Amino acid sequence: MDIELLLWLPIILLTFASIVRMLTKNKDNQKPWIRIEEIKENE
Amino acid sequence: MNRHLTMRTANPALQSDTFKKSMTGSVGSSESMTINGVVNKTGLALLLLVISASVTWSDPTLSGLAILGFVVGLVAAIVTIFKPTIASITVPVYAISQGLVLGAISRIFEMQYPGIAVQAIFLTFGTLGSLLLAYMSGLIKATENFKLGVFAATGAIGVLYLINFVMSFFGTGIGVIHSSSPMGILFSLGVVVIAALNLVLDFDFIEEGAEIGAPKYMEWYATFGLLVTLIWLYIEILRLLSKLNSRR
Repeated sequence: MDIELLLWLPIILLTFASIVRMLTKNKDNQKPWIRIEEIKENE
Repeated sequence: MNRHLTMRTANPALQSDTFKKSMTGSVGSSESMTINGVVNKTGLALLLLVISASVTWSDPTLSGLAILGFVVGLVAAIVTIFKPTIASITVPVYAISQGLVLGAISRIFEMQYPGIAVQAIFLTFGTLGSLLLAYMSGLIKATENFKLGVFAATGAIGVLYLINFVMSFFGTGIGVIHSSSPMGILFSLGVVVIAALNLVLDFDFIEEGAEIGAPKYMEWYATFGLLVTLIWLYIEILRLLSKLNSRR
């Protein structure tokens, strides 16, 4: 195996970690599929 | 207070007071620096660099142009740093002249180890892409400590190279810089990592410029900073690959 190929390893890992972070970052801000709302009396 | 305003950067072109200097007299200016503008100008500068590099790369008889390119590039860099208002002229000149130098250097390495230049180009742009993604995702943040660390490491490398340059006049040098020993390879790998981390500082500089509405000509100046880092990274990757190849 070419040792030069090992130089791609950190690049690939960093890219993968960045994509995972981008996909999971804004999960909290998304609207939930099911929302339970409190119903006030005489509403 | 804006987290970018107290910034430190290792790139000599992108100093902490660069924006403060540029902001004087630009208040009320309708056009200000944008990230898109920097991206377009960087693309244009890289295109100019590649075209001029192809001249010295394809024709070895023109390698004398590389010396001219080195001198012109040095002058253009100094003028850009001290007079960023004319960066729209000096940065394309810098890109073309550095292209001539890189074409000749790449050819010398390529003759020794065929395929090395293409490998170095892919690794340089691979590093740029992955670090841009890491910066955009927030995985790598340009915090004050990060900036200080990269600044100190870059300064240390600069001092080491300067000492080596002075020592070369006396027929000697710092062995680890040129050596293909495991220590020499480790040193080159460290320099590549530091050069790559300088890209994060460049991204931070560009983001800050766009955020505070720096004048339009600063787009060319930011392009210059990015070019300096990319050229340094490419040369260091070439050097690392040649060390790895020489051990076969």
